[in-house]
Amino acid sequence: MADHPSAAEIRAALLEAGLAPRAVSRAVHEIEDHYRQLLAEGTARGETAELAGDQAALRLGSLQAITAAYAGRPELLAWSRRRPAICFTLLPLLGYAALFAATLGLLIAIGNVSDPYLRGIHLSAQGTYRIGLSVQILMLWIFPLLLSIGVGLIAHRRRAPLWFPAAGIVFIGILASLLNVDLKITGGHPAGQVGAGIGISTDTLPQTLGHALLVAALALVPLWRVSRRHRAIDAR
Amino acid sequence: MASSVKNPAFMSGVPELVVLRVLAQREMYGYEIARLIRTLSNDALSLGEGVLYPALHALEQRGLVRSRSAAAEGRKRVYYRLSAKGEARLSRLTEDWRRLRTGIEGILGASDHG
Repeated sequence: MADHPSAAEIRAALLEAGLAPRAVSRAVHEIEDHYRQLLAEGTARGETAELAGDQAALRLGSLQAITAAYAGRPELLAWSRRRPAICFTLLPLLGYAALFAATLGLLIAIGNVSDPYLRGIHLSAQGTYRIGLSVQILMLWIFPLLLSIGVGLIAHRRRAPLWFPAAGIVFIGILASLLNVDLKITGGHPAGQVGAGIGISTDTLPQTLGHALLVAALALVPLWRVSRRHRAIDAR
Repeated sequence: MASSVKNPAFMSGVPELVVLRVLAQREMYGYEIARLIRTLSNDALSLGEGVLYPALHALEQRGLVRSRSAAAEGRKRVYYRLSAKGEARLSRLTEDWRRLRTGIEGILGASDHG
């Protein structure tokens, strides 16, 4: 007896084969519609529902054959599957660098525009410290973490080999630990300063390593958890 | 019923020719294409019909067919039609196939008389 796979099984198999989620949705929709039409055809011939189901499943072919037919056409596979190293390792790293540079540029632009206003105010040392710290947390912790978690989840959704996003996450963590940003808004004249750099120092090596490890670990844990849950579902 | 030819190497390019030829008649959706292939070939070409979709999607990506979604029987359905590029490709494939058929018939005829 031939069994027709569920829509969820077809979806999972096609994602696993490397199709983009949008292409998968379309394929699942068309295959399911085809199956319904074959069922109706069998029923119209006077077959029982069970026999019509068997015949329809046979006519449609096995899920393995359909998946292999897609996998055998690389042009139909998602770009992320054809170039996982670029998509999940290199681009996120460049993306973080670009986000860091864009944010720095934005801070400088805002500083220039609001310079006349800033010259007329005076900030306490604690206020200056808090603003600087917030910017450091945003650019050196929140940005790399959000980007890393996002890359991991997208890679998981596309069933990409997880080595690539994992490597990307580690590289982002390393880059975040090597970067530094310093924003001091004091008010008065000069109203403040902003600077950034990249480098490593033996004096701060433990902090740098800790920073890289923590960013990578915080992003890798959700990736590891969803991939473990996915494997458990597959095993059922 | 004629015996079915599933996937020998000789069939390379045949699904493309068959799908383009069927679509040259009119706009159709996947099930209609498969059913017409079955009917016209007297079940001799009974591919696993599910593999029709990767073939159609690949043809679409190459610009040989175009698709549009439309509601039918309360559902969204994807209809395919031949493009101008597809028509040109169909002409070439048909010509190639006829040449191949003539060649094989010549060989079979020679064998019968030999």
